[in-house]
Amino acid sequence: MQTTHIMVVEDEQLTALLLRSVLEHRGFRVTCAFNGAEALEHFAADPADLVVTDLKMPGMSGYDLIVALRRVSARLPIIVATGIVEHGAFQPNDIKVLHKPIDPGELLRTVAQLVS
Amino acid sequence: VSHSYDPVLVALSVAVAIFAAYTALALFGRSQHRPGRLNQWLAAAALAMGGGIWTMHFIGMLAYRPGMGVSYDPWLTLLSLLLPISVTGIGLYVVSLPGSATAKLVAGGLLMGSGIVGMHYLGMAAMRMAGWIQYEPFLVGLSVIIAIAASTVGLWVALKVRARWQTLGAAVALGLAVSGMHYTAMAAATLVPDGRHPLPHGVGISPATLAAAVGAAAMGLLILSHFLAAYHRKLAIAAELQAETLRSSEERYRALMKNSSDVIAVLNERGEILDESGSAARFLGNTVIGRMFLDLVSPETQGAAKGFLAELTRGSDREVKRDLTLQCAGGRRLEFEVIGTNMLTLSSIRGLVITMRDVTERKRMQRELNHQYKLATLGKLAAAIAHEMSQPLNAIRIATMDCIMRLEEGRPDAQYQEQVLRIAAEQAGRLGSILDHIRGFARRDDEGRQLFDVRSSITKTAALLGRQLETQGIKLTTSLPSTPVRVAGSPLQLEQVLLNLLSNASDAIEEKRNGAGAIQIQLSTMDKKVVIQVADNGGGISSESLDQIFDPFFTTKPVGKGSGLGLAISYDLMHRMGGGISAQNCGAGAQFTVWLPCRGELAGAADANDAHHGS
Repeated sequence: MQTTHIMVVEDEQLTALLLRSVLEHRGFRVTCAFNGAEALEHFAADPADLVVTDLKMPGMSGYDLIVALRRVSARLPIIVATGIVEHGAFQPNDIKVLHKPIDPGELLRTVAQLVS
Repeated sequence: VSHSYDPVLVALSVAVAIFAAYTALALFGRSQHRPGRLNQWLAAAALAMGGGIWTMHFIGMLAYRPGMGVSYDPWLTLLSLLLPISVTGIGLYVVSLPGSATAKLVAGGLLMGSGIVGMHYLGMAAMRMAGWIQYEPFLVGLSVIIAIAASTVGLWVALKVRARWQTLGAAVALGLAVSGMHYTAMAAATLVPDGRHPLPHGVGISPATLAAAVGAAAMGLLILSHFLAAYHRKLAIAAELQAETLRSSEERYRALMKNSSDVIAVLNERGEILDESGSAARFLGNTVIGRMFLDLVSPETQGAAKGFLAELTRGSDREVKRDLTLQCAGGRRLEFEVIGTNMLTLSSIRGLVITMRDVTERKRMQRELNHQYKLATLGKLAAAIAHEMSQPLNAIRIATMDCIMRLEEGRPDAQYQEQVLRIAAEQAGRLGSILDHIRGFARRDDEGRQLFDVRSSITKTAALLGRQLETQGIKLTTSLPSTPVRVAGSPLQLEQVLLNLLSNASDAIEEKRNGAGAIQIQLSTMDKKVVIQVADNGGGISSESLDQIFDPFFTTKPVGKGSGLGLAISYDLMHRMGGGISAQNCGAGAQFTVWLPCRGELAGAADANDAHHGS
């Protein structure tokens, strides 16, 4: 079976690094982007099977990224990892929301649930 | 020739002499307000005395019935009037001069006495009759002695007496002496009729004319006396009025001071309370006069109070001001703003004047306002703080839980564990420093003053808000000198001010929503001041708002966004640290200038303590 490709979009480098380590250790292929614009660039070159994104980021925010990604792929699984409480109305089936601080176990379970 | 006296006229002559002496003494007394000076009072006294002697003499002459026809030479008669006036004037002037009293009295008495004697014998020489006058040498000598003695005593009395009854007594003595001299001299004279003695040619003054002249002179005396009395009355009324004005003005000030909420007290240089306004009783209890000022000051501000007295006693021209806590009646402790002025050299006060105003309520409100503002700002900053804290918390949670999961999965990796734990510990430290900052910010009490480097305050504030500003798309740049910039004050309060300025700047930029936001903080020193300039490109402040932005509850922000307290508190904080804050428009936005007195590197801890007392 082909390795699942996950893209982590996170402006905080340390968080991105840790998430990458958590996911790679469980056998996922991980690419990192530090804002929405960079994520779209990477996605165009190397589409991911799942995107984990922060909401509040400099430049292009997580909201704008989700809108843009939905145009490319309507069924792409997306996990929003955010510290913001009022995060707007996301369709529950399309997008899972995880609150910071993130529980890596919950992240792995959500990833497993979405890619299955 | 047989002669006789008219007793009524003799009595009148004595009365005139006494009356003249009284008038002259009273006038002379008045002239002594400006002793040693020729003035109108002295001249009037001479006129009264000289004229009085002359009048007495000629009334005496009218009373005398020599038994033969007598008229008077007009020139000699006139001379006999001028002589006593001028000699009496000189005599009075001499005694009014400064110098030895005895010498003055001897000289004055001799002058005046010889004047009186001269007048008498001139008056006698003015007589024209068919005969001549024979004098008895012993009685003539006696009359001279009486005149000189009476004059000396009269002048002595004139110098000594003050009360009206004393003047009256002296006038009786002097008047009796003058008339006594006259009648002694008259007793010395015997008219010897001599048919061969021709009557001199020319017009003589008849006794009737003389009576008229004497009457006129007496009238003159009366007029002088009348003016004196009128003047006395006027003076008395003026004095009464003045006393009344003074009394009512003093009463008014007493009442004002007593009912004033300020306590005014006068201390001597040792700090003992000599006098107070009467309002002290309300705060400090009834008897503060005689107590030491320092005994009223509560222990925690003793140091400040000692410094206050020392500075005040040193005698500077300017006011000395301190905030002191005083032990008040009923065990209360009230905060007073105490202002002192050194008036030790002012003859009417000769003390240290201090004004104390109860500022307990004002201070409480100030603290309350400051506290409320802190809470409001804290709420506004809560989002930023949450964002700031969520990152390290997130990292710690991911790292530690992943570590646990890997242990549970039975695949421990010592190198990974160590790396991850280090990250967790580091992030926990970061959280701790954020917490420290919030704790300091929310603290109610003012922090003690200390010497600190302004650069670190700017760096800390920038670090606290930097990330939030970044996510808002605002670029924050700081321009700091490479060497420490020291000031005395509270670093947390300065950071509070800077946080407020940055938060205002970011609000202004966000509201404008036009291009990239930028905030520039620049630190520099000029003219012994440390100057921090915070400039933004948020569109600036309207000119009408510029005048009001430091007023409490003034805000340009939408309802619910700004408390209107931020800049007011900043203004207060900066002034309490001995500095200031101002605003202007500059380029594309507003520029706030915050300044503090420069302390440099030489200022020691003692210096910082002094600054604290002054706050």
